[in-house]
Amino acid sequence: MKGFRCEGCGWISTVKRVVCPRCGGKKFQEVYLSGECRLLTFTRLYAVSEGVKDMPLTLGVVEFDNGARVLGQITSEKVSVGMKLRLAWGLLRVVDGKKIYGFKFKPEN
Amino acid sequence: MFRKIAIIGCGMTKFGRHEDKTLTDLMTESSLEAIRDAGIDEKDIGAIYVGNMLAQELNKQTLLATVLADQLALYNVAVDGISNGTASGGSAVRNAFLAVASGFCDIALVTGVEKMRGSPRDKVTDLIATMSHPSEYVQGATLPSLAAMFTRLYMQKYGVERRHLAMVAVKNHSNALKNPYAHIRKAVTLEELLSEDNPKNPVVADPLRLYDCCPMSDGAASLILCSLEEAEKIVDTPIVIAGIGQASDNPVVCEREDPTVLEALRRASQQAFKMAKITPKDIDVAELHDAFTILEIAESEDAGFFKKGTGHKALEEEVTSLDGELPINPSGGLKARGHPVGATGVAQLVELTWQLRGEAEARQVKGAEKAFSCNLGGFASNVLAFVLARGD
Repeated sequence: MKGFRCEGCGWISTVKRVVCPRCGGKKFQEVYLSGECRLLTFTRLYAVSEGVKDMPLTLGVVEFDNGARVLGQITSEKVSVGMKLRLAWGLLRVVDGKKIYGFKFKPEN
Repeated sequence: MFRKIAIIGCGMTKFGRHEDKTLTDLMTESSLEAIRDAGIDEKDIGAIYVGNMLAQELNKQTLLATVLADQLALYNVAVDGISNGTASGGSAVRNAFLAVASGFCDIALVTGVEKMRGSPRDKVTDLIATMSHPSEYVQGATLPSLAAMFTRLYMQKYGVERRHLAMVAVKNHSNALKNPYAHIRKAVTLEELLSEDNPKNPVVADPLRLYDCCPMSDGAASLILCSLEEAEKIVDTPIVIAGIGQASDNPVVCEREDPTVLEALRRASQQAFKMAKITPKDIDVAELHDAFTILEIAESEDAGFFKKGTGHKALEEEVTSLDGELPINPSGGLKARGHPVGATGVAQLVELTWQLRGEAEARQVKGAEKAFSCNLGGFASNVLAFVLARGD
C-alpha cells in the first residue's frame, strides 16, 4: 500500500497532497505500508451503499507502526479494538457498474 | 468593514414526506411564507440563493434558483444555486449575507431545499457517502459508518455510554413533539432505545442504532436578509446575523490529529463568536447538527459550550433540555425535525429566528436573546457557524 511521507515532519498519509496538513511542508517521499497494523476503531455496517455486497460490511481504522492511519474493509466480522491485522487484496465494491479492487485488512493467522 | 445584516422574514414547509409536492412546490412554499412574514413584495428581492445537494441525481433537476426566480417572475436579479454537501443551506445563507453586506443588493432571499423520500435508500446513502474522501468512498464508507467509528472512539476516550446517545434522541424527539414542522413527532423512551432486541431500533452501524441516526426528509426553509438599517424600518424585531464562521478540516477523518475533535467546528465557531464579539457563555439557545446522536454531544463541546469530554455530562444533568441552562435543538434537531440536507442549515436559522422573536410557542426558550447554530458538511470537514442576536 502506497503512502507519502512528509520530509518536513515525517507524517505519513495514503493521500497524495501538495502541502502537508501538519507542518506545511511541500516535499514528500513515497513509502510503502506493509506488515502488521493495529485496529483503532471499527463498525459493522448494516445499511450499505449501492454497489456494496457484504452485509454487514466490517470497516475499521488501523494504525501502522510508522503512525499512518488508514480506513478500510476488514475481511472478518469478529473484530476487537487493538487486534492485529495485515493487508489483503480483493473486490471492494462496484461503482457505476465497474468493479473496484483494492487493499483490505485481514486478521493475523 | 461592511454593513450589518438582519433576518426580516422566515418560513419553512413541514419536514417529512411530501409525495405530492415537487422540489419547485417545496421551495416556492417556504419562499412565499418568508416573503409574507417579512411583509415585503417579491419585487423587493435583489438576489436569490438556493442551497441544495442532491437534486441533480435524485430529482433530475439543476438550476433550482432559476426555477424559483421564474415562480416569482424575478428575471432581472442574480440567482445562484449553492451546493456544499450537507452544508449547502448554511453556505447559501453565507452567500446571501455577503451579497447584502457588500451593498451589492438590499434584500436577498435564501432558500434551502431537498426531496429525498421516494428514492431507494441505498442510492441516497451512496450519494451522501460521496462526501467522504474518495479513498474512503471506495471502501464502502458511509456517513453512518464514520459516525459509528467516531462513537466507539468517543466511548473509549470520554466514557460516553449508549444511554447518553439515547438521551439525545429522547430529548430531541420530545422537543419535536412541540414543533408542528417536525418530520418525526413521536416520543421515545430510554428503555425502548436501550433494549437490545427492539425490532423498531435495529443496528445500523454498531454501536449506532436506527434512533441514533436522523431520518431522510423532504422539505424547504427560507430566510429574507436585509441590511439592519433598512430592517428596522420594515419589521419590529429584526434578528441580526451577528457572526458567521466557516472552516474546513482533513476530509479523511481517521487522519485527524485527534479524530474525536471536530476542528473545523472549533475554527468556525471561534470566527463567529469573534465577529459577534461575544463568547459561548452568552448563548441562550443553540441548534446543532445532530445527524447522529454522538454529534450533538461532540458539537456541544467543540462549539465551546462545554469542556471536551463533558458534553454527555451536561446532557445527563439536563443542562441542554428545553428548560435547562442552554437548550440545544429545541426544534427537535436533525434527529426529529428531519434532515432534508440542503434545507437544514437554513431551517436551523428559521428556528432560531422564531426563538429570538419569542414566536416558538410550546418550545419557546424563555427570554432568548442570543443564539448559535452550526451546519456540517461531510463528517465535519466543512462547517458553518452562525451567531444570531435580537436587534437592539
